[in-house]
Amino acid sequence: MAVLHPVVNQISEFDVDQQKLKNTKMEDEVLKSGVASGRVQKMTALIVDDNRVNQTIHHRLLQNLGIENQVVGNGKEAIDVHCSGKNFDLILMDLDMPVMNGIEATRKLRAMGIQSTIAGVSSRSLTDNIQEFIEAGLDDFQEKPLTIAKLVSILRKVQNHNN
Amino acid sequence: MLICIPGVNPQGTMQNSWQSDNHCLSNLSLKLLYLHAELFHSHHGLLEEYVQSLFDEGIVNDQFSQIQTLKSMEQPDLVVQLIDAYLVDVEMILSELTSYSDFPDVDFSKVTLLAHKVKDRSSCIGAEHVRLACDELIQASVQMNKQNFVRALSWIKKEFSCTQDKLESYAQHGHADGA
Repeated sequence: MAVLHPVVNQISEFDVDQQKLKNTKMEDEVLKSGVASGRVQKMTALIVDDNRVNQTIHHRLLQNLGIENQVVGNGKEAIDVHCSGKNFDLILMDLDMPVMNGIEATRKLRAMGIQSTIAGVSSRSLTDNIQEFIEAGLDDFQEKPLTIAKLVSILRKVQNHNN
Repeated sequence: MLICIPGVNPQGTMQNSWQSDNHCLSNLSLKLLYLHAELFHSHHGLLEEYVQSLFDEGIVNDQFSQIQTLKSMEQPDLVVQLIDAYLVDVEMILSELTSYSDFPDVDFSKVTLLAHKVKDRSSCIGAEHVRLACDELIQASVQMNKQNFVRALSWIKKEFSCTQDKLESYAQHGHADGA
């Protein structure tokens, strides 16, 4: 079941709370080692980003955490891969992409009934009016660059979502 | 038969020794290994110092450290490849931005998108100076202020040029180091 999406004055839910991340570092390490060792159920992810450098970085970060992942280059390819019957626990959705951007792709995926955790990732910050992106159906938003800490925070949401 | 073995003594100066050919091969191999290790550590140390200087100057940020952890035995050149791709990518985008600035009426919607692209690429590789310069460019584009846009573009090109030189040096060292 998709999480209800907050309106703009609840955007703070998506803030990366660095202090909170520090306080739960132990928990994150346990999660990381759990995923990497396979004790935590193997998650799958789809990376949707038009830039090869970003694709490689995100792919390797997820791989190092033991997350099986696939890469596509824009929103339309993300739709196509789901139409082919594939499904993922997590979709990392970039905002600015050619052919179909992250907003349109997120909207379409939700309209198709896709209930995966969709985390928007963009170098645009929360203050850059990404309300439309969030309201399209995101479960989370992280400002680039995507770090291990941010990824682990997203993966915790995936776990909670799946539970 | 006696053979002259060139070598380096602990003080670092050249010192030849004469040995029988029975011990020649194993001793020579050991000395060559020793020399190789010394050169490797020396070069690796220089690379680390250079990377530290990039951090100290603010050219790169913590994201660059994260990138360096991504290389593996299978892809020892990964970081260098990512840097090369970043430099090519941003150079192309800046060239496109420059062409837009040559028109009397700038298409600010396109220019804003391109400016965000530069910020996106620079954030992910950890190119801090370029990333910071993007905000000025984005602001000028959103405000549709051509004068500010031209000035911001000039600044970002300057920052990119400097970053490009530094990262290219790193890449050259990195190739030699297997980074």
